[in-house]
Amino acid sequence: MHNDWKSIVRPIADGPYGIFVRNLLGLHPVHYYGPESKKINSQYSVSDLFFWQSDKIWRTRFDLLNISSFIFPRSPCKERVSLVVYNSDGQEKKRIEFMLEPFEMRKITFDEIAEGAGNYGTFAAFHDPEDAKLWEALDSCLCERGYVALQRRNEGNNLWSTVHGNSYAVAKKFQDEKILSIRIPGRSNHTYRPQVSFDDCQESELIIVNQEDRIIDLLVRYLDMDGSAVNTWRVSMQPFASKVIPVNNAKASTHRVEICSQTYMHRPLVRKLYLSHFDIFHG
Amino acid sequence: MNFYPFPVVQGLETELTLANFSPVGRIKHQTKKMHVFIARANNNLWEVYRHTTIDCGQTCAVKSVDLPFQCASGEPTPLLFMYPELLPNHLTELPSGSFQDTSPAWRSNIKLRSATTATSYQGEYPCPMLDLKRGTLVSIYPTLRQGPGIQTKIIAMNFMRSPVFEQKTVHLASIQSKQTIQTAKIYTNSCSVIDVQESSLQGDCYFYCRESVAIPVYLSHTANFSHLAMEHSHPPVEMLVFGNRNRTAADMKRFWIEPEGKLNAQ
Repeated sequence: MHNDWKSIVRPIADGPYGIFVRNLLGLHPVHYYGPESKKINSQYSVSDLFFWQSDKIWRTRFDLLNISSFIFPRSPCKERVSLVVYNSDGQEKKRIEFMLEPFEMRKITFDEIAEGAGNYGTFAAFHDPEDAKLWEALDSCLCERGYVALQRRNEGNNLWSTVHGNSYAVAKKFQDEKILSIRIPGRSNHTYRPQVSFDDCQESELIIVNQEDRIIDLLVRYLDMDGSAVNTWRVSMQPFASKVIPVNNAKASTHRVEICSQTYMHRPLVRKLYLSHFDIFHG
Repeated sequence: MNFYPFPVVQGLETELTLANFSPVGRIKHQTKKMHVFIARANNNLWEVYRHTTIDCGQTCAVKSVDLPFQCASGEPTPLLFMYPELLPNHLTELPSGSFQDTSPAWRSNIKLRSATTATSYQGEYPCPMLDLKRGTLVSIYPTLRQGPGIQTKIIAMNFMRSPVFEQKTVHLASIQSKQTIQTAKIYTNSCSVIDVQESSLQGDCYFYCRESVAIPVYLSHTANFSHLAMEHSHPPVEMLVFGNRNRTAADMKRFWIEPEGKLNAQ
């Protein structure tokens, strides 16, 4: 009886109208358009919206791999990867294609790729497997949540500090060109609290990306040990735009931060600048 | 409820920042005063030490110098957790509770520090993983190969609800041939540190264990620790999103932990 009830309610609750009502009432809200929304299906490639920075101080590398061949190693095929580069205002500046052999890993540096796109921005990587039929039987999508590596040019060694993708932001159908955001727009304000303290470093940065295809107003609250706001930072972000926001902690006043916007879980990258090197991680 | 591994790496200080506030939602609805415990498996019991108490909305840093015991190489390493009640000094099993069940997960900042820099990630050892009696690990981390002058370690984190201390075997293998390049031992209820041999990094490789689950964390550094970088890899299931992705990922994992040589035979 219980299963019968579930089999009736589930398709309605997971359908487009059901998701709308759930999100409106805050009942098990859904934050991404998945196959049940009918917007995408297993013939789509999903990607995080990653951060890149290429200027006098920073360089960026992305480590691509032929994801299909790792998932279907018994039927490995080539994969065409479209790297789509946006500037810090979220404007698409470049689209570059790479053909990867089965099981290939390729390191992509942004020095040339980002030429003409400013000092920093975002990018997505969409994988088109040569044999798209492998995906027809699945109800899942291929997903790029790979590893962005940053390096300071003047440090004089080969170490790259890596941070993994952590979100599902955009999707593109195999063999198609159109890119869509799969974030479901929130209707109320959400607060995201990185569970990290800023006490140990005088100079840190928050790197924030707008993964939605609408303008997002964002408030960063800098809090002291007692949880009182010592400073705030307001910014309006275009779709797919990115911002590097300083956390100047010379007086050790900022203990932690909160990020408020209509995006659920507006999770920043945190970059801490230490004496001899830096740290970067998802906050 | 989550647990927080405390890796011990020779030459570096460890520092965990525990937060008594949820990453999302209203703070006061989700938290109350918490005791911070440091535990380690010893003689088939969990030794449990209360370190401090954290008020709602506060954080607490636990450093290597705060540990109530010495950590020698090849011994169980500490595991930290928060709990609303006092606990006895010895437990036969780690406790459980639903008080930190948030999405995204309730994490801590797990940091390794040298004299001039630090590297960290936001991490946790999820409670459900403690109860996995069987399981496997496959980790494909394309950034494993750094470059000349950089040393790499893999920190394999495995914890169980019971305080057993067992040895498992892990492998680094070539992606192209599936041939094993390096074999190492890891231990349950420990953060086992594996020095990746430079000769192992001549080609692209992956890391696996047929006998156990573990969270692999990759630490790269210069010889004098002036430069550090640490990150964990995604489990293979993260190459997929939506639908019944676990079934596909399980099939994929089976292939990558099969006995070596099968890839060339395809």
